[in-house]
Amino acid sequence: MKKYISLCMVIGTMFFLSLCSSVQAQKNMVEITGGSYSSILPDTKGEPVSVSPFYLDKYLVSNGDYLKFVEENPEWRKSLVSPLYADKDYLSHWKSDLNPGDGTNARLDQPITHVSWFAASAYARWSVGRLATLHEWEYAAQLLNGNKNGRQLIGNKLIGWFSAVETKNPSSVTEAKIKNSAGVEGLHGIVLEWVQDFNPPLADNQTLDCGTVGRLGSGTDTYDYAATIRYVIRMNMDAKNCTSLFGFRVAYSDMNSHKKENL
Amino acid sequence: MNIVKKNFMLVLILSITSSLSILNAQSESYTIDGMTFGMSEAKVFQEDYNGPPVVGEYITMAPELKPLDYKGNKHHNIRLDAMVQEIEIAEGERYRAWTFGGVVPGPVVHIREGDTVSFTMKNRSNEEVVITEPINGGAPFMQQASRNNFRDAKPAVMPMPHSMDFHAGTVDAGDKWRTIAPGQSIKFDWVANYPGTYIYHCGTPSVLMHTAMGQHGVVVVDPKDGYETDDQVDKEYVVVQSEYYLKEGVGELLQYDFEAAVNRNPSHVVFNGHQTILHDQPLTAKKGERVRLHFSNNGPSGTSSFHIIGAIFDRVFLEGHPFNEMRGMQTVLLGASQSATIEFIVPEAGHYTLVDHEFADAEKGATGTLLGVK
Repeated sequence: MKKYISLCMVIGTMFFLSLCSSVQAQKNMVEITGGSYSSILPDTKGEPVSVSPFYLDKYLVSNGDYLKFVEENPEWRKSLVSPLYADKDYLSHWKSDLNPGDGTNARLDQPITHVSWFAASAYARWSVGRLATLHEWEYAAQLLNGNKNGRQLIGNKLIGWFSAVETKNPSSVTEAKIKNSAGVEGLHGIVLEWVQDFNPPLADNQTLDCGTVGRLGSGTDTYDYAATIRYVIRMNMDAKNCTSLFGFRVAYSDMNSHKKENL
Repeated sequence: MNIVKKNFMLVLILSITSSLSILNAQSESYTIDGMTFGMSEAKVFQEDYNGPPVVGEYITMAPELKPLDYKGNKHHNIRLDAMVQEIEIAEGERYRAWTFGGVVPGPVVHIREGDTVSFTMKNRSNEEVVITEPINGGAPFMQQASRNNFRDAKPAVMPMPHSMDFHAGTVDAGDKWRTIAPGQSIKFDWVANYPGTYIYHCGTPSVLMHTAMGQHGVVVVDPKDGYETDDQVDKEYVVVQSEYYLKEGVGELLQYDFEAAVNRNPSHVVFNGHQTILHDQPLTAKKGERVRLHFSNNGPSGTSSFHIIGAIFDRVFLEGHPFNEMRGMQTVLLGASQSATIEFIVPEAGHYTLVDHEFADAEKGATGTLLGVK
């Protein structure tokens, strides 16, 4: 019963907050014009995946952003969060419920990490948006300026990055080294990001073996090779997992999505 | 049209998956020629575990091998946690290794043919695990790691899915060797049906990257009736050859070099995980002693032409099986994930260099020392 009450409170709060925060949420969104791309997922291999236009936050959600969220949504504070929605590492790098830290462990401008998929989804709803779908995110991520060589170079860097991620001290969300051509920053090279369908139906463990990377058709394309590593990490995560590797950003279906969602 | 196609695919996939899961539901064990097959299904679970990352009575740090002081067969409960550790791999060169138990190569597991292993692994890649301080309840490996911090190991974090594939086990790999998320644990059983030295490694894609990053080790399975030279052997050691593919990173640490790995151009080829460890801490034996070396080429991609300068291999048991006996060999050629149990006599006091006689590898570090003393 208690749960229902708090659920109603959550929905009520979200409804209220969605009205006040919509302007804030729109401030840094970037339009991703629709198009198509070739995904490494076996179900779509060979066929381009089309992605409808949508909006994506320019920056990753920061500790500072997330602090506002937990201030307004007590049920997502580290001492109050339900173990159903986050494992014991939820916000484990924060000093306390409303104190990310003294700057040595979690600066306000660093991306939020140690959040579960559930927490990321709740934040996105609170921001009157949603998480990007896997295809939306991957589509946006591969919108890289330049030629095939540039793409290969980024792939090469990313594979090295996976072996040396600065999980303890990620760079500020506004200081990303890699931007996509639409202006979205830090899709690569800071943290990995939760997406709506991070564990797509084809991602059965049966397909995960020493041949996976080759079978996903990334033998010659270094960007795809790096993407395969990203897929494998993402698809093996649990929705409750809170790690120093995963953060997120918010996506929106359209500029006015908050209006529809509030009806 | 597209939707119909997609639905059809979905049904097809679901039916394949469900039939696979029926195949997976194993429970009945059975025997063929005295060997045991058919293990119960692996369990994936969450545990609050902060204990020693390596547990097991007969688990040591290479080159040490703990003798099996029991008769017949034994049921071993062992643990090798997956974790990240910043280590030195050559003088002044460090990287954040993905490991089992905190070192490269991982701990040496010693068992006997016919023994059962109940294996537990927690994926602790998302937490800092210290291996250089004494901890109760761990394997002999833990004491060795805290006493001999040659690699100057420092705990590190890189949350990453991992898995464990024991070549010494004969099981349904899709079940036992499955990948687990950071924070998850897996438990499964296997029986050592064949004697020999077998590698273990992480099998999560990219397998090349996971193994090159350090996730490999060996299990030494003694033959149930021993080798015919058992009572003549004076010293017994374990040496593992492997490659690193590393390049300069952003900071002081090296990082994985994808191009080099794909093109099989290692930055370092090493014995027991470090360019100079087997020179700074040489193997020792007395003049006239018979030394047995369990030598494994853990790759991930290169071959090894193993030779000892000044010695001839009196016996070579390919893959460590007592039936695969060769005599009088100068060099043993081993592909990736192959091993040999090698015996030789130390002719006189002096310096004997262990070497991969593929000299490109030797010059990248694949050398070591056996010190012959009077």
